Amino acid sequence: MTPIQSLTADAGVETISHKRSRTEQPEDEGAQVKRKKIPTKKENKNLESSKKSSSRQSKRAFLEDVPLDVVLDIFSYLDSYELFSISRLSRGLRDILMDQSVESVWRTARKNWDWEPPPIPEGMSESCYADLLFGNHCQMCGQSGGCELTFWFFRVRCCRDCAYKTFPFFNSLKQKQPLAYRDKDVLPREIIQTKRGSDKTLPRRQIGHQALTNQLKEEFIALKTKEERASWIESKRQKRAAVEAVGHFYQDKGGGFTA
Amino acid sequence: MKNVGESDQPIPLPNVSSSVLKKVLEYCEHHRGEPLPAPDADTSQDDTRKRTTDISEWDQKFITVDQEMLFEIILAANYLDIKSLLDVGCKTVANMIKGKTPEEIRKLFNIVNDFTPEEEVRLLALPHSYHQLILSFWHHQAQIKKENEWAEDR
Repeated sequence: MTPIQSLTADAGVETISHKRSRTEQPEDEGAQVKRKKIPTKKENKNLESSKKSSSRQSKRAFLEDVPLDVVLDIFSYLDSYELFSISRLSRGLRDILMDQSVESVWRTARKNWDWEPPPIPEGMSESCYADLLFGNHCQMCGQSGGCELTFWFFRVRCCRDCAYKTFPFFNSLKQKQPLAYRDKDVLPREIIQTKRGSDKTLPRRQIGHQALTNQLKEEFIALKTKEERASWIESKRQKRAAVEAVGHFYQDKGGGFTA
Repeated sequence: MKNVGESDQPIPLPNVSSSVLKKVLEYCEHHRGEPLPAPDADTSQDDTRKRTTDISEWDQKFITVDQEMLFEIILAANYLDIKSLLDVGCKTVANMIKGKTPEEIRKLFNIVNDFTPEEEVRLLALPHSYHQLILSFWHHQAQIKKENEWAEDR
């Protein structure tokens, strides 16, 4: 059971850093991380340069000499997490892997999992999905770590503060929507869960998504006949149920353990 | 090289050194007479099967070379269009990547981290423990499923 032990150890480290980030200003923490990161980077560069000077021939830089289709061939044997790690190694690799044209490599990677692949929300790009799954920075403020909220419906991961600031209350947004579908489980909705044992300033809240909701309204208004509208409502309802199922899947599996 | 057709003209190999060509010939000699892989067999990326990185014993031994040689062989196989050798090379590199931390992969392949510190903070943090927990749960779930299937088979 070593993997689980190491996981709990990780979780322990994570909670410590949580505590630290709560007591300090976010800017301070950012600076601290920078200070920590720079020396390691320099060390690496020194290592690499010393290696280069010592070896009679400078070592080939992987991916710079190998043609792209060969690189993609190599990637096709990796799973999503390995691919995600690769996309974080350098700018060049990130650019290759975040390009729309390599969607199929990500799709293959999802099939290379050792266990059944998790469902992918409809309409989400593969690289975006991998980022939602494995990344941990807040996609709004960019702060890394402690970012435990992934909104599958909104396709965004962000920290609590950003979520409270950005998203409107679901109910107040709902009141402004057409009566026809307002209560038909069509509107995008997410819930900011309370943190276990946290202070009361961060309450559980149902949130809506302004842009996605507006988009629905436009689509709805564009439809003319009653039948068209009814089937539109039904398909949207099903879509929401499908995305929510993905969200619940993740919450059920890990939600109880984040505190 | 088939496309070139029968010819007495020498085939120029400006990118392939003699030691690498020797290796490539050794491979071709050993696998002589084996049927060529179907042209479309591996190209369809939407195949539902998991891609395995298993390598046969002889190939494994053959490809146990230093990294410089490995890349030379891959480049030569690509240039000479020897699909099966290219696959062996790519699988070997994929296996080298598997199970390594990002820092280890960088060292291994001489990848220079050229992200700015800001980007680094954003991008390079390890996955959140939350996601790791989820992953471990999937893994766990899959194992239970496997065990159940095994029990049912009995």
